[in-house]
Amino acid sequence: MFEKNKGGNQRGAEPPEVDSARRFDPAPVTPPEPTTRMTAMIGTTIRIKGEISGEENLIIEGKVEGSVSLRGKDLTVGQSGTVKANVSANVVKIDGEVKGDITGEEKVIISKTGRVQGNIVAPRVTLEDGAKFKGSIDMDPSERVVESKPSSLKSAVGPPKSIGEKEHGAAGAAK
Amino acid sequence: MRSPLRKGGAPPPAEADVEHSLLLPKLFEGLRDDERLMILDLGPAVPETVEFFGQFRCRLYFADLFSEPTDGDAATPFQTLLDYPVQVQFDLCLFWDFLNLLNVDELRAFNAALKPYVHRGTRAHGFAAMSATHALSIHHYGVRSTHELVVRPDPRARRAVRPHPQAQLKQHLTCLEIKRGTLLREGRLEVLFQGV
Repeated sequence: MFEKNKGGNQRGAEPPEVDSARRFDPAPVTPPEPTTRMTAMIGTTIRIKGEISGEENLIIEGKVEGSVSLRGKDLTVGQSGTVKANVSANVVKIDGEVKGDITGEEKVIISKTGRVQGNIVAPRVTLEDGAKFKGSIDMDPSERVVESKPSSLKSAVGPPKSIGEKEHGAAGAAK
Repeated sequence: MRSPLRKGGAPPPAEADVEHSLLLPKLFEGLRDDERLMILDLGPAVPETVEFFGQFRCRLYFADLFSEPTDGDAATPFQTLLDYPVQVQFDLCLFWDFLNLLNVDELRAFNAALKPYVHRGTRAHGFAAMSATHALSIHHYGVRSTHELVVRPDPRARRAVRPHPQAQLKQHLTCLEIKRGTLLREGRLEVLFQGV
C-alpha cells in the first residue's frame, strides 16, 4: 500500500486527491519571503564603475571602481575580485584585491589570498597568514564584549623573573 | 577586551619560531590601554602583530619599504614612505631588521623623514649588531605577546645587509636615543630607543 503511494508522480499513477473546498478557494498566494535572496553577486566577467549601495550581502568576483556601501550587510571580495574603491559594510572579507579604504562596522578579514592597499577602520581586524597589506589599521575593540580590562599595560609587562632584568626607569609615554 | 596579561598568543604557523624578548616588555611599560596608541611597523604586516594590537585602541601603520623585490639598492623614498598627516605622532616604532637594510646615507635620510613623527614619549624597538662586520640574517617579525616575537624567514629578494653597531645608530639616528641594548646570539643586538 505504501509502495503504491511512492509512485504518485509516475505515468499512469492516480492523481492525488484534492479537497474540492480548497480547490476553488481563491486564497491569496503568499509572495515569497524577501529573505530568499540574501546575497547578491557580481560575477567574474562583470565590470562596474560607479557607486554601489544596498541592503543585502554582496560578493564581488568581478572588477569594481568607485564606492561600495552596504550598511549592516556583509561584503566579500572573492579571489578573482578586484576593487578600486572605498568600501563600507558590516563584515568585510577580502579574498581578492582591494585598493581603497575599508570600513567594517563589525570586522574586517583579510584572508591568505587577500591583497589590500589602503586604510582600515574596524573594531576588529584579522589578517591571515599570507595576506598582503599596506596601509594603516585603526582598531577600537571597545565595542567588544568586555571580559576583563586591566587598568594599564604596565601590569601586563614584565619578563620572567629568572631573567633578572632591572627596571630602567624609562620615561612615560604620555605626550 | 582580551587581557594583555595572556602569556602567549595562538600557536604560530609551522614555519615561524617564537623568540623571547628581553626588551619588548620595556616598550610597553607604562603605556595605558585607555590611550589611543599610534604605532609604526616598518616590516610587513603579519597576523600576530595585528592580533596583538587589536587588544588596544590604536592606529597601526605598516610601512614596508622593501615589500617589493628590488635590484640592488633602491632609491630611498622615505618621505613617501612616511607621508603621514602632520598630527601623527608615533608612540611606538617597530623597526625590526629595517635599519640593517640601510646604508649610512639612507639611515640619515630615514632619520630626517621619521623626525616629525617622533615625540619625547616615543619608544622604538629594533635590531642592530655588535659590530658592522657581523653577518646578520634578516627576518620578518611579529608581536605575539608583550614578551614574545614571532620570527619568520624573510622570503623577499635579498638586499645587501648592513649591520649597524650601536655607536653608528647613535650617530645617525638622532631623533631617538638608545635606552638599552641587549646582546643576543650571533652578534645580534636588541635595542630599545626613546624619543628625544
